[in-house]
Amino acid sequence: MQKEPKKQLDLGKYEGEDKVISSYELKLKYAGEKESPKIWSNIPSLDKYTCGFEPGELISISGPTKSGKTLLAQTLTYQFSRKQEFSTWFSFEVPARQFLSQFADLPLFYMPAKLKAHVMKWVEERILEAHAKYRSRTIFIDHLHFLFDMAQSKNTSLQIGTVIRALKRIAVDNEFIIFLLCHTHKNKGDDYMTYENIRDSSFVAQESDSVFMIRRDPSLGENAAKLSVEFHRRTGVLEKVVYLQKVKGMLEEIEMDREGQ
Amino acid sequence: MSEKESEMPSGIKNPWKEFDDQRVESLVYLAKEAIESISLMQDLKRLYNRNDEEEILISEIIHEEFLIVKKFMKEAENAKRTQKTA
Repeated sequence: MQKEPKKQLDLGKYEGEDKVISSYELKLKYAGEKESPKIWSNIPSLDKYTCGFEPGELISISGPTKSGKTLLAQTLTYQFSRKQEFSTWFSFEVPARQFLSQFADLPLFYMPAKLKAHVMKWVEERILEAHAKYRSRTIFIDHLHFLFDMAQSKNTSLQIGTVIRALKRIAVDNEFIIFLLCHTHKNKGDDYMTYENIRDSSFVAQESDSVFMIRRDPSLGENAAKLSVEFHRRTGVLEKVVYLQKVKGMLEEIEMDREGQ
Repeated sequence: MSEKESEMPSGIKNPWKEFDDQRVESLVYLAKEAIESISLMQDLKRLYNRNDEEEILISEIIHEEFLIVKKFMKEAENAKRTQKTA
């Protein structure tokens, strides 16, 4: 019983690197450090709503099957590479050969030569390897359900929560930006979907800095899609829509007039 | 069987194949060197503030190195494809 006060006394002299300090000391510490620059998508409205992508962010991209999730992620990869930010990809869903052939003009990015599904630890190691070797700090994972073994999972929702928190920790600790593609559950009724339609877990939206929902929109044209920034914690944006169309294998913004035509 | 191979007596290693293999290997090596250079330049780039002259210069070097990667890997791909179909 006497040990408690002694321990407290010892902690009063604690000087480890994780010691508790004042907000002013912490601010002073950061004042001498250069901030990692933001990365821009080159999609004007998306950049306006997100104010660029900042290190430490976890962005979820969701939408129904064949809605353009992978294409949006590929477009971001292409645009980032134009700004000399070379991404790392985990393309679990699309085979590597097919994935590479989907780019009309192949940008520089990095991928594991062989994929190992359902092992989060392996994914983390490869992310750190890509940064150590190539300074890659934007990561794309296609998609969430390949990061854990559903067959072994007793509670899928909790399992997803664990995975999402691990990804967020990797992003924050290393100043990476992680883009996570997620499927939606089957929607009964109309096509309108929100972040609440992300399959299996509400943890995805809770832990993400922003959720983008994308779906095709034939009313705008054969290759058109509607991208909704469902929310963005840093900018405070809610349900803002960006209209996109596929041009030369990549997505570009469609300029709409005030009436939305 | 290709013209090259048909000229070779049986049991003798095709020197053209060895040459092609080495060519692909060299091109990949050069492209990897350029990728390594890009990584080093990115380290340097992050040391400077945006719009500094040095940063612009480094960006140009990264772009040049990227073009080298693209060119050499394209050549390696073509060499490998020709070799396969020969």
